[in-house]
Amino acid sequence: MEPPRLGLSVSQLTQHIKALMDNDPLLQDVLVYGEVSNYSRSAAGHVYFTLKDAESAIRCVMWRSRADWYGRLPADGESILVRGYVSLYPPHGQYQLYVGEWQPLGAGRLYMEFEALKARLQAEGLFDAARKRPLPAFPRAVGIVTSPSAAAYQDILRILRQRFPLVRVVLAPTLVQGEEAPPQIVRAIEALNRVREQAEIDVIIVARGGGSLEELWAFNDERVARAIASSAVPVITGVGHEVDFTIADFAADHRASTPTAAAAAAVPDQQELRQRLTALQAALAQMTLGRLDESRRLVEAHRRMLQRLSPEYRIAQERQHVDELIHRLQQVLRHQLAMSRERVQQYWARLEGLNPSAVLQRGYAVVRRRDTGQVITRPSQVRAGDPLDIRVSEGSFGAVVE
Amino acid sequence: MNTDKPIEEMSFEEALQALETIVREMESQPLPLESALAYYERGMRLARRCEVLLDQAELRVTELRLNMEQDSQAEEL
Repeated sequence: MEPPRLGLSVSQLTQHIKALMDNDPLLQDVLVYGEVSNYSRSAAGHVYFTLKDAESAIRCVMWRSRADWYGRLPADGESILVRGYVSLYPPHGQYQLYVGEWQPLGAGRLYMEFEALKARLQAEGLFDAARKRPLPAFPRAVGIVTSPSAAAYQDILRILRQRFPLVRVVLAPTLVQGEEAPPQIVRAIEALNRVREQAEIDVIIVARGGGSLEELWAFNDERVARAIASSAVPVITGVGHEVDFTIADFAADHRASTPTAAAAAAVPDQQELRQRLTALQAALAQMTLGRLDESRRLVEAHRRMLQRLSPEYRIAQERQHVDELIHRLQQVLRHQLAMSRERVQQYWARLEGLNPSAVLQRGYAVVRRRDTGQVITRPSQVRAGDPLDIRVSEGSFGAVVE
Repeated sequence: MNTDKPIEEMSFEEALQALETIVREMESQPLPLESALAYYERGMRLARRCEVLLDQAELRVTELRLNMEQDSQAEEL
């Protein structure tokens, strides 16, 4: 329709009101308490409810992303405290409280009690680090304080079976929530302590699966904390989830974040143990082989030394020595022979040179007196008519001196 | 070498500790060959004992029966 000259459109009015709300700091971050009614959850997971008191009511919505944080959501008739902002949803013309956080109205008081007890026990020294005992490396038996019908118990057994099935389990069943729980937990811990020698219980696990503050409340009980602190057997607590810290956790010798983690802390892992065994056996073998090698080398060295001292060896040595001497002797003889031969050769040559035949061959003659055989070297040795023997190279003949 | 308890009766922890002691001793001092061989044999037997214990173990669970009074008994689950 054609906009009239006077007045605002619905949207303009709505935007005006919305702006008023969005600009009001109180409405941007407000804490509100009231009673829950008309609780519902949409298919998409968003939570809707009305928060009211005697005279007023306001529609609330908590988106799924926020609602998923909580283990538990508000119930009709419950008194709760919420935190959020107020805004207007134009299409419906309705203002709503958009809830970011909520808690049961009683929870505040519980936290105060928790803090007070924690402070008191801490002042007594119950939580001192010096009181905490080391956990046994190889417990013979582990005592478990928990509810046998809960998943936490099965989880613990599974982990124990997986890691170290050698350990024995002694279950001390107990309630893990409600008013009856604390005295039962105490009795369970005391019972395990009483039979600890005959059952060889070396460590105790006190466990409970996840839950709200109220559900875990039994583990914030002073009696439970004292029972854990005075246990002669070291205690591991595994209560709730990672973020839950109970008084029992502070009193324990070791706090694990969950029942499963508690089981893992209580016993060693057989995979690691097997690896350790393999490594030890390898070291053993290597050292022994090394020792054997060493011995073998030593024996070999001794054998060689012994050989050198043996008669056969000595005889062989001597024989070799003799061979050597013979060889040297032969060499000396050969050398001397050669030298003698050479000297003979030399003499022979000289002799050859002095050989009268050689002289005779050159045309000289040996002249002798026939009667005396005297060799004539001077003319005065002969007179005319003396008979002579003349020897030449190839024969001899007679001659008379002129 | 500690020969007090037969290996077949040792607990896992006892056997493992004995084995580690043997390896430590062999590492720290030179041993005569015969001793080395004896240590080796004993060490391997101890390792075997540990492995057998792990292989054959089955988790045994017992439940305490708790009354309101102070006494408690053990019974097989």
